[in-house]
Amino acid sequence: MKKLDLGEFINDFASLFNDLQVQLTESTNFKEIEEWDSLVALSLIALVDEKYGIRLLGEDIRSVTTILELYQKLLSKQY
Amino acid sequence: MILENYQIKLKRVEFEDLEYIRIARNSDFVRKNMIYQKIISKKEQQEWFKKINNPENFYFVIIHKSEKVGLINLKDVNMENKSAEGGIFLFSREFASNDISMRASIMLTDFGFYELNLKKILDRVRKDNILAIRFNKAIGYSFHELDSNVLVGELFLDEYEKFASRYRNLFNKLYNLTN
Repeated sequence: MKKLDLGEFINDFASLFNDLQVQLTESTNFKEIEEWDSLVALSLIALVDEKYGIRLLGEDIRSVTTILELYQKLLSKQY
Repeated sequence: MILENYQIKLKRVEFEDLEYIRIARNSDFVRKNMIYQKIISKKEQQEWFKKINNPENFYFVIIHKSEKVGLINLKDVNMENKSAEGGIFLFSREFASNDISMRASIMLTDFGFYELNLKKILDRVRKDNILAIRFNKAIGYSFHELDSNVLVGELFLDEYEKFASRYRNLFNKLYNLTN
């Protein structure tokens, strides 16, 4: 499975949105993005499973707010 | 009656759940997306419960880790023409923007098609409820206009299965640890 890289992960995350109106950075609170919804959350879960082999659960997403925190959560689950 | 899968429970609504549901249903977050938008009183809630507490209506509280997080239903089940109307709302944005709504929807839609042997599930949504329309399309609903404010969605088993198996596989992998 592919190793996590923060910059690439931010690009992956941005690709989940059809019409993203904001520039994402590691400090972005992704839950405040207007387009963030259950389908984007599902796409994120599927993406990290397929690309990185990481089982990201709904409660993992609930426990973080920024993209950096999400990335760190994924790192902690990768090993 | 309790359905359990993907680390959530769907518990049939009981009298003791009514006030919790009513408070959530009256919140701005929930109410703004409803076709019926008036504040619901305790008396109205109890009258509603009398109408739905029967074998033609399946209303379930969605429970995640002992917390009541939403309501999902198959109502007006008609065993002659094998149809029912679906609906779901989560009690807060935190849960609505998570995968819980899809876990619950797959569970109850499977129940409808495979336990109740329904042929068609309907759903009515406000035209401006873009998220609900998008969500329903993601499991195979197709929509047409009922009136200037409301769309009606129709879901048939063959179309549903084109989408549902992917979600089941993902949720089994994540929550049932089958792989």
